[in-house]
Amino acid sequence: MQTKYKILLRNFLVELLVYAILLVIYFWVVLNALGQPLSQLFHLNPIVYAIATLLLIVVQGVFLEWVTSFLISRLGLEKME
Amino acid sequence: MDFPITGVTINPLFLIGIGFMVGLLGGFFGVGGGFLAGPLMFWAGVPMNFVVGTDLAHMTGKSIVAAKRHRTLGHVDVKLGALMVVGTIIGVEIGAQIIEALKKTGNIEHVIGITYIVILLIISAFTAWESIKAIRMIRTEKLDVSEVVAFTNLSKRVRTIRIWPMVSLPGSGIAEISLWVVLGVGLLTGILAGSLGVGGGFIRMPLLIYVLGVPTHVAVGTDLFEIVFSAGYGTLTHAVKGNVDVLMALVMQTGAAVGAQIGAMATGYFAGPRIRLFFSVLPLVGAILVIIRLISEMPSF
Repeated sequence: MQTKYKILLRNFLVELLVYAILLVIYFWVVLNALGQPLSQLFHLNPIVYAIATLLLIVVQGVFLEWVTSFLISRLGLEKME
Repeated sequence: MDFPITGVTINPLFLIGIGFMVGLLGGFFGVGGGFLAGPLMFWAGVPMNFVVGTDLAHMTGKSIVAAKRHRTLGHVDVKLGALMVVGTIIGVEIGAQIIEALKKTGNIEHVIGITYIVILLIISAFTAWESIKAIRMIRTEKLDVSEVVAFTNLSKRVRTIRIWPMVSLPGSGIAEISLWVVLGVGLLTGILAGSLGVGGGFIRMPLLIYVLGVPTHVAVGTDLFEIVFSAGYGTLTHAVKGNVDVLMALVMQTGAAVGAQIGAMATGYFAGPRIRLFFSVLPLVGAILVIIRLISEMPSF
């Protein structure tokens, strides 16, 4: 296997491992806490629900991007890109 | 895991898996991936109206991650993306009106389905032909470049259109182009996306390359940047109509974020023509999925 593909595979595995740990925490803390309030909002106020949806998606997107970039720089993976 | 908004029970790992696959495709090809995620979610038991809205919601989040990564790699033309968004949103609304008009005539599924198949097959065949030709050019002429496009006639002709106002797009290496051409490409993509019920990534990506003459890597990144806004707009309108399960979208997004990062990084390892050659398979898969759906809906004799 060429070196560049090995690097790609390594980046993928490292990210996968760290994400797996974060996901377990995420499911137990975030989804259990948000599930009921968001469900109520969905039925009671669609406009507020729509705004909350977009905000949550954007915030999570930015957060995940930040986490991944942080991991890449902390683990020195950016040097291999 | 129970999702109280849609009222369905789905294994979250399955959703993460869908997100990852779609994220990988999105990061690498600059597409939303709705053509793949939609059927899989529907197959898992998600009601159709939630499939469309939730897919758009997770697409928004995934595109933020992928577009940011592409921006770091210098693959996003923010000016081009921002200009195209205007045309796309107007186009999506026109596309939605076309759907309403077709509904009145009946037989909407077949008209849209067949149109969709024809467009996808043309895109797939053309992109495959052009990218193979470009790869051969690189080999025979021993070119030491990452980007060669074998079909530049259209983009050269488009540059000769001099309707005011003219804009420069240095991020895409375009010195001068009519604003109307850029808006027109956005509008056309929007109409197709709005009337065919897809994000439009695999229509927009070839148009950016072959019509505007944008380099492949920049087309991928800019396409994703544009999807953030067009899918974000779609998420809002669908959420108001009660078609989005945000919990499901958040779970899918966790998988998509990993896939998008890997996909975006992987573009750095391949030359433009090779990315386009891989890309040509996507519309083909999309066309096959639509053919299967149309056949399964046919009445048996």
